[in-house]
Amino acid sequence: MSKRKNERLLNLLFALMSTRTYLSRSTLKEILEEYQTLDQSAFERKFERDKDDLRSLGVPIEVGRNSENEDVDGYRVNLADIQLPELDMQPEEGAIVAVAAKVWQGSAMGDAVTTTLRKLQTIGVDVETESIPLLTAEVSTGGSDAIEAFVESIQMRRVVTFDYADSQGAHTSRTLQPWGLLNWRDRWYVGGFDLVRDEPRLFRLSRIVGKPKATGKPDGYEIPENASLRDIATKMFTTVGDREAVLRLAPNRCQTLRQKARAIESTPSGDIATVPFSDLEDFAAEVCSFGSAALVQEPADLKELVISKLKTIAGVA
Amino acid sequence: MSSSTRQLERLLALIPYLQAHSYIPVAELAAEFDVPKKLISEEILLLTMTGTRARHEEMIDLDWDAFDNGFAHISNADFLGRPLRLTVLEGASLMAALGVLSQLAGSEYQELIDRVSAKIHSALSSANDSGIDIHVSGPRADVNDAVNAALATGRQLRITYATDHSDAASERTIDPSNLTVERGHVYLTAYCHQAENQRIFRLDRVLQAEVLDTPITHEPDDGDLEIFNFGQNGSIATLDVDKQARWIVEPCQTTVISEDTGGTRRVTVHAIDEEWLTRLIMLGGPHIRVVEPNHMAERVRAEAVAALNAYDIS
Repeated sequence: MSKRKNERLLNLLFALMSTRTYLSRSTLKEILEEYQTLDQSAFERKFERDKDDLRSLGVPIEVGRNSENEDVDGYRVNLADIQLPELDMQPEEGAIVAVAAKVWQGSAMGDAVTTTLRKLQTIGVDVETESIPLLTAEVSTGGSDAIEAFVESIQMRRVVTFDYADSQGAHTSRTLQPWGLLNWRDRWYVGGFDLVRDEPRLFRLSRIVGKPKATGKPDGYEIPENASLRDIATKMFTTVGDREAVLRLAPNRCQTLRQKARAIESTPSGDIATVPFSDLEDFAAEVCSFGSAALVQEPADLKELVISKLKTIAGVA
Repeated sequence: MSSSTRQLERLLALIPYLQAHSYIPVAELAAEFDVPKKLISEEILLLTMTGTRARHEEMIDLDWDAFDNGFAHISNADFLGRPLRLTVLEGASLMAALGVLSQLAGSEYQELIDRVSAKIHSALSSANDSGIDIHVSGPRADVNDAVNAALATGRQLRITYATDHSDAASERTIDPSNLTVERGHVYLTAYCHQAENQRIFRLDRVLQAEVLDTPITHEPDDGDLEIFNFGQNGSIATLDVDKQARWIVEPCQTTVISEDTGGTRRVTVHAIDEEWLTRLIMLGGPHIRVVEPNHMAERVRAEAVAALNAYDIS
């Protein structure tokens, strides 16, 4: 199935790139075996899809007429537009590419990187030398099918619809103008403008149920120039503490609390840390997780909540 | 659908590659494209079904005798002698990878990485940015500079390190050997003079780093070091996790055994050590309960009792 489709796409592309004149639909139907047997409406549908497939791959298809006398549009691909330009890569630059390619090693995205390396090699870039042994990097791509689908939608500026499971497991349908993909603390997110909630948002790829569907037309929206997924993430994930707690920490312990602390004062009975927080419930859970190494002095409601959690865990509630 | 797009990308890359590598052994070709030999052979055959029919009725030719003997050679394909620009996914993945390196590398590589990024950008099929951004939870700038300086000059580092599992900071002298990004974090492999062995340090847990004058005394081992070593030191526990506490165990290596109608899952979790696991369970409060082993349940309870005693409540 996919084999025949790729055969057809290649023949279409080769026909379009080896012509200087625009080829009309009827000419294409005539010269491409794969289209010949189809009736007119099946051909039209298939041809539209094939054009979209080539475009989403990154092949620009020109539409135009060879003379004013022609009454239908034709198609062609300008070879100069689609060929890899001369890159003039120095050996140390090729080495950087080789190191970068390893970032995706072992993931489904690795295939795309491998073909890139072979393309660069074909035009004489040396991507074998690894003269930079100090750097290696690897990212995980759980759910990379979704990554791929979103990369194409973002490229084509197409609105995407998908089902999303929230942290409680409830499913909702979302409609998004995707702006980009972000890997933040080893988790993949797609970010963009949520047309239902009417605001910029991030969605965890691992919580997307089924396949995201590109439902919008190409070039259906613009990505704002100042769009920054990192800013959205920072806002979403950093606690801008509007409250403050005073905690007594055991010496040398509770590193995550120490990193958040505004001030730490060493006393004979332990380190007294002033730590900002915003969500009482979340912060109580975090303090509780350190057991006797982190004790709340203030405020009273935090202290009460931590003690009640500890009592439940101790089974004395 | 997605593997079919990958195949289309590979077929397009194959045509110029084969022309630049006459009579390449098919086995070598398979290795270069990182796919099974059987698949690449099928793809070469597929190429012979394609060509520029528009003007010449010509198809790509394969040297069949050579192919039967395990070598690939095509002709009649000079209409695609040069590779195409990077496809959307090819470009996006490489640009994102360069972005990771840029966050990781010290200043001496920054300019080089920028230059490569600009060249790759000029090879993209479209100016449209399909933005994949991989954020690395990096170290503090001063730590990063010290580490890169030590690596570049081959000198020792004195670091203050907060271990993940023991939650305590310690001072160590180390011989740094290389940096790795994995799972969103930067890791430094080094010989640790306190442990008298190779160790891997998560860079954002290095609280302080100072470059010493002494050169390193231990060269890096060739042996592979596992960062996430759940083997001999790790322990396994079975937990009941309520729906609202799933986020706590999500990042851990877990296996779901069953799920009840209320959404509570029974999972096994692989822990680096028991102290770390105790904190994880206590973070869940009443929403994470230990099924087994029994001593783990006891340990969690004892820690809560100790804390209550410290509050003067029992």
